[in-house]
Amino acid sequence: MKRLVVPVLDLALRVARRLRFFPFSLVFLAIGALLRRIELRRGRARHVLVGIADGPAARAALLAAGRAPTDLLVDAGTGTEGEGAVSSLFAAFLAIPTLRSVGVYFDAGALQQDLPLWGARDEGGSGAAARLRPVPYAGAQREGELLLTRLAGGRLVYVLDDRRLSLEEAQGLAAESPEFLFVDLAGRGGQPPGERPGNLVPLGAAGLGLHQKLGLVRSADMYIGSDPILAAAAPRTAELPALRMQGGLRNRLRGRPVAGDTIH
Amino acid sequence: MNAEQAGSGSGRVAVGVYDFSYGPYALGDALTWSMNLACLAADRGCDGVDQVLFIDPKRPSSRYQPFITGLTAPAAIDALLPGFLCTPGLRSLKVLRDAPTFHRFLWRDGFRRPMWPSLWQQLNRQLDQVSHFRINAFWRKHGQLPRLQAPRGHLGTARAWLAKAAPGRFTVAVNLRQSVRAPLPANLFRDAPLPEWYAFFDAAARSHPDTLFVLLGGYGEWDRRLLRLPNLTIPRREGLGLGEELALVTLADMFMGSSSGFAAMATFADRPYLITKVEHLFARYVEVPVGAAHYPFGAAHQRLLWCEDERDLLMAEFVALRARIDEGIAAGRIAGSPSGAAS
Repeated sequence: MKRLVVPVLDLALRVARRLRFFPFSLVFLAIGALLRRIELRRGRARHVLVGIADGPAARAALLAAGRAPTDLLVDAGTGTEGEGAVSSLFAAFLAIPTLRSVGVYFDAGALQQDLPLWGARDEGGSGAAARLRPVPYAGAQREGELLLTRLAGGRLVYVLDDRRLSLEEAQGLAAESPEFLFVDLAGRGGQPPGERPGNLVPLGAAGLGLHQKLGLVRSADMYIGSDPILAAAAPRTAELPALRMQGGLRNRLRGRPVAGDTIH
Repeated sequence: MNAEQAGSGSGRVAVGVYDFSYGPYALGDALTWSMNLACLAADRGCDGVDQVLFIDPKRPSSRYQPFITGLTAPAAIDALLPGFLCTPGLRSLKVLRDAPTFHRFLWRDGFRRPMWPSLWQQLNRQLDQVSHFRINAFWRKHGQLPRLQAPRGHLGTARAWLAKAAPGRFTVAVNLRQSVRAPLPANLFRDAPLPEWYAFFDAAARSHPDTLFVLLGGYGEWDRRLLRLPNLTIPRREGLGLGEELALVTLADMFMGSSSGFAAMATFADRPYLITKVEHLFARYVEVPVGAAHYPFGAAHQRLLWCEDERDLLMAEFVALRARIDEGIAAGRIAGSPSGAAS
């Protein structure tokens, strides 16, 4: 009998949602609320809670959401902490396929009121996190890929996204390695065309959102930077200090993947 | 009783519900919805506001936006989110993509809290996101309106950018509707005629060299020729997004531009503005006759133009408004830009 409850309710829900006016919409509302109640009682609803003040760690925490549908709760403080962080966290939320809904809270009381309706807290660390890859939304993936196809052709593409790499260093690297294309996302500016190597493309001021960057990074060959979401999306990723320790950036980039690179 | 007093100290919380299965993905509509919600909250004596946005996976958009599908809805909401962060007293914002979760929240709140739209309207999928009827009614009742604020978490960046980009200058936030450059063009007759605006910017560079125009809007919606104008800058080229742009509308000395989402922000944030090319059809929804110079709640430095944009008219209106704004700032009636010459 218990097994029949959810399928019957589900069928009733589907019938009710076809008739989108009162009183059918009220029945639809009641059945939907009941289904959620059952989900909560059975412990199937889970959420991940992150604090906006955690900075990049909050974005990294999204990758630990696991493979089952999960909701994301954001403790945004009073809203003045972490300028632009709510919007960037929301963009990251949209890139994690297993995250379903999001609640952003600027008031601790509101968060406490809502917690019972969000289900159990998921502490992460299930091991699935390492295999989760952020996915940009459809248009952004196309835009990123098309940009690289036009700019790079068949060349290997390295995405530079670390401000510790100076402008001079990036330009020297590009001048020494004309066989590669370097896409600079770090927004450190650049010399005008004609005064910088043609294979160094500064896109830091090109107005790319997270999803356009994701599309670009996914179709590049290596991401050199520390943004957790972009690093998790790239086919290969490395951090600048690690590359430097491996005997020089230029020589290292000429090589193929080695132990220490993150390969997805 | 003013708008702030109306909502003080009761502990009540209003709920706003925006269901994209019948509500549009549009900045102006999002801001008008926020303003209606702010008026409801103030009128019912609420201290705070909770907002719920619902994207039904099986019906992610209304019949008027069939091009927004399950695949493109994430891009649409990502581009629009800061528009829902401007409501005064905002305690929480939920974006739900699961019907039972949405209905559970609605079941809990819809019967016991003031709600916009009302539960009855939600059940019948009726959302008036266009008209100013309730806003005008609030104005008539209380004599003033609640104000939309800069989106939560974007004001500091916008303020710092403005202080750096326009020190000591009179700043004008500008939005020129260019749907022709959008991925899915619509209603091109509402687009701003660029040659007239170019001529206006050129003339303003000569007559008002202390003025900086800050162009707002999507990255693909402006003409590259604008980059060569000495008195115009584009924040999106420096990594700023919609959140900072909306904050800039609240910080700039005035707003000029097409009747669109940014114009709605200037209107409901109570900034000085000149809104151009207002559609005649819109008159009945804002309860003013075609040709009226102001909204019912508009002040002398908040002007509407119902005709085609024309360079001499733009200049005449700009000069007159600039004089009123300088006078208003000097008299303390208008808050100037934190970095502006006028302040």
